[in-house]
Amino acid sequence: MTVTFEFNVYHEDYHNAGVASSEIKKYLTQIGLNPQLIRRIVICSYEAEMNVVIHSYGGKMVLSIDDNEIKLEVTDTGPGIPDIELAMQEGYSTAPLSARERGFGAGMGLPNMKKNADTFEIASSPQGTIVRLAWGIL
Amino acid sequence: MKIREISDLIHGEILTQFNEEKDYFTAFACDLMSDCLAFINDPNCILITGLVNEQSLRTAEMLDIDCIIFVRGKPISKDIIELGKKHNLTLILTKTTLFEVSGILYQAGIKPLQIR
Repeated sequence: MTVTFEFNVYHEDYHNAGVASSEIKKYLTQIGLNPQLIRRIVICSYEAEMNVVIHSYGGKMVLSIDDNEIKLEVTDTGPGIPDIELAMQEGYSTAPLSARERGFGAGMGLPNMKKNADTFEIASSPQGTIVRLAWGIL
Repeated sequence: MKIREISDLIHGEILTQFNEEKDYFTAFACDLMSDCLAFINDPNCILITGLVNEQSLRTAEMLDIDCIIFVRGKPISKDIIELGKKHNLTLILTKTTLFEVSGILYQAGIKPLQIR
């Protein structure tokens, strides 16, 4: 059986940025997942959520869990990442001042996600960006 | 080191307190939350920061950190204190700078995190 949760994330909604990841953490804790795995998942989820808030017009996060795997798919509606290779470099950032004032936009988001996920895929066009992350459940 | 001792050393004000008997051995001082997410590998670590907003509390929550020291005496809103209570975070406010808080706690035996 697959359990799925969906969260909407809005552009520059800093007040609620992190609420979806907090809900994800709460659920994963309730089902008794390994705390180290939860930590890796929510680091990715929070970074992805902040990226949607900071860089996109808005989007959504879909978490799905079955017996073997946890998947997180984060999509937004643009404007997209012009150069993904550059965006993957630690320290490279195009974040506005509003994000930096909140402790984000230091160019660590995508590298942090790649480091903490078992699988990491990203695709982007001016119509939007999609990030797919997955973790195996041992 | 326990919360009361930490707070006294840095002339802090304890805004919310949970687990007064817990011993802390390490700290990480940073205003960049992505760096905290990248480098903090010990849930028993204290986060020392000048960043007073929801994101510093959310970052602590994701990392299972339960103690934040806010430096440079920035005003803390009721919303932040309520969010701290909701997530069982100990929040300490001090007028001391980040550099000085780090130095005082280091001198008192709090260790840096070993990263990478």
